[in-house]
Amino acid sequence: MRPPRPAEASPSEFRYRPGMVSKPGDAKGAPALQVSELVELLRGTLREAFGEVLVEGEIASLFRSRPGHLYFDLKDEGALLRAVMFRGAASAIDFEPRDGMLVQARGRVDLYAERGSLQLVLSELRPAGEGALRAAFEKLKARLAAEGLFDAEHKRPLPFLPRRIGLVTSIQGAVIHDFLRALRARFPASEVVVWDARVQGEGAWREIVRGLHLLDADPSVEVIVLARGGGSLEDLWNFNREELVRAVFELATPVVSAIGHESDWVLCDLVADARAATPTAAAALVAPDAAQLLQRVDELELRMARSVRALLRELSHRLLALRRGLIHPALRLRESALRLRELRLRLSAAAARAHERAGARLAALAGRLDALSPLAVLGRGFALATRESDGAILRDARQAPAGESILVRLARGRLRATVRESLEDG
Amino acid sequence: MTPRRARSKEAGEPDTGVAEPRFEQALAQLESLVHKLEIGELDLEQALGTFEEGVALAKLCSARLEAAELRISKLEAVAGETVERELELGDDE
Repeated sequence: MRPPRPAEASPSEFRYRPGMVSKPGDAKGAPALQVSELVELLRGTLREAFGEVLVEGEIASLFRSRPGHLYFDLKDEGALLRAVMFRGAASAIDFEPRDGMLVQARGRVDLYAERGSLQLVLSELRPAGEGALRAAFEKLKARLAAEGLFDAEHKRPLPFLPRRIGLVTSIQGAVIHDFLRALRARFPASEVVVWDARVQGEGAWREIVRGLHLLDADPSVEVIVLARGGGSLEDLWNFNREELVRAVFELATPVVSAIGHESDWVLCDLVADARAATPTAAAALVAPDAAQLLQRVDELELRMARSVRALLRELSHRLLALRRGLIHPALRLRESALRLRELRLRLSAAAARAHERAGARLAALAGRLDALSPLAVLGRGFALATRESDGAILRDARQAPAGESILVRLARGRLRATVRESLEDG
Repeated sequence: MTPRRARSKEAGEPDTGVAEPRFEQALAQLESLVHKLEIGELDLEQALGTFEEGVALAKLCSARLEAAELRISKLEAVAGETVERELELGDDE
């Protein structure tokens, strides 16, 4: 038998209303509440009164169940609350929770009906306090570095002049103004697409990742700037979020990280393709200096004009020289005649010389011939006798018997004689 | 194992070159034309053609550099669709 319930609502819809506290079970004549009804009433009241809370405390009695749920006590010096983090939320924790660690937990206050105990059902957990944050930061950094996410080989060059620049930042605040002012000064004709995102506070990284992906999908966005002003490590915590770091790594578009200032380094800076200390410096990285380029173009134009002018000048000089080199045919003929005469002169001189040389040689030869001539022997007193009848040279007395007519040739003149007697030797 | 970055954007997005060449391409081309002219191995007709081409490129580059308009738009996601709206930032400058 169930007791009658308040007419207007089922137990799950009980809500606390002022003046209601003592009413339901206490009203005269009203039946007692069932325990579960009271607990249900309390749950509704708690939810309504508190909604979502952010609470800081120390972890104690941590226990991870087999399915991956996380149970622990959250306490400070004076109080303790049981906390549970179910598998889905627990798997998104980007650090290693341990007993004694100071954390900030976000969740709602709930009543665990079976035990009637109060508990926190947590959706997010992160280290609290600079020391804990620093430790978590170092740990995540080491892990991602070991995976190679920060390696120089993955850094891509930024485009010389991007068609469009993606900007992920908050449109509130000075950062966007600083960036746009610097960009306008540097390259006035730039085109910027802004994704307005919260850049601090719980879950801001989700909005940032969303914007990065949307900008990455636009082919005309050739570089993305992720910008935020400086802050404490806690303020900048979103930029150390593993999901965000991985998202930046996986983008197809080069990313410039301009988070915080000179001294604040976040993991986003390490994974990005380039890091700028300020929004102004980021503008200088993503756009070239238009004034300088304009000067270069002017100079190139000047050089071009100069070399064309030089070419024209050279050509006109050559033309002039050519004109000077042109000769009338008659002139050329006369020149040839002159040359011909000169050649002829040289030829006859050479011939004369050759003739002279030949004459001398002839005389020498004649001398040598003289020495061989039989006539030369006659000069020394010998005589040459020939038979008159046939002109045969006489070498033997028997050739000319007595009565033979012979001719005796002397060095000078001849004797015609008749042989008186032919004598043979010895 | 080292993860790999997607590089499809660089590889898959070459300049289509339909309307006008990219600024850096035009500038590089201008540089090479000037160089060609300065070497001085072109005949008059080639030189004048190169000069004309160079002047056109220089004009294109200057126009891009002298344009003064910074265009800013804001990307918004509305019901799963992304739209771009012009962004007015009030107190700027």
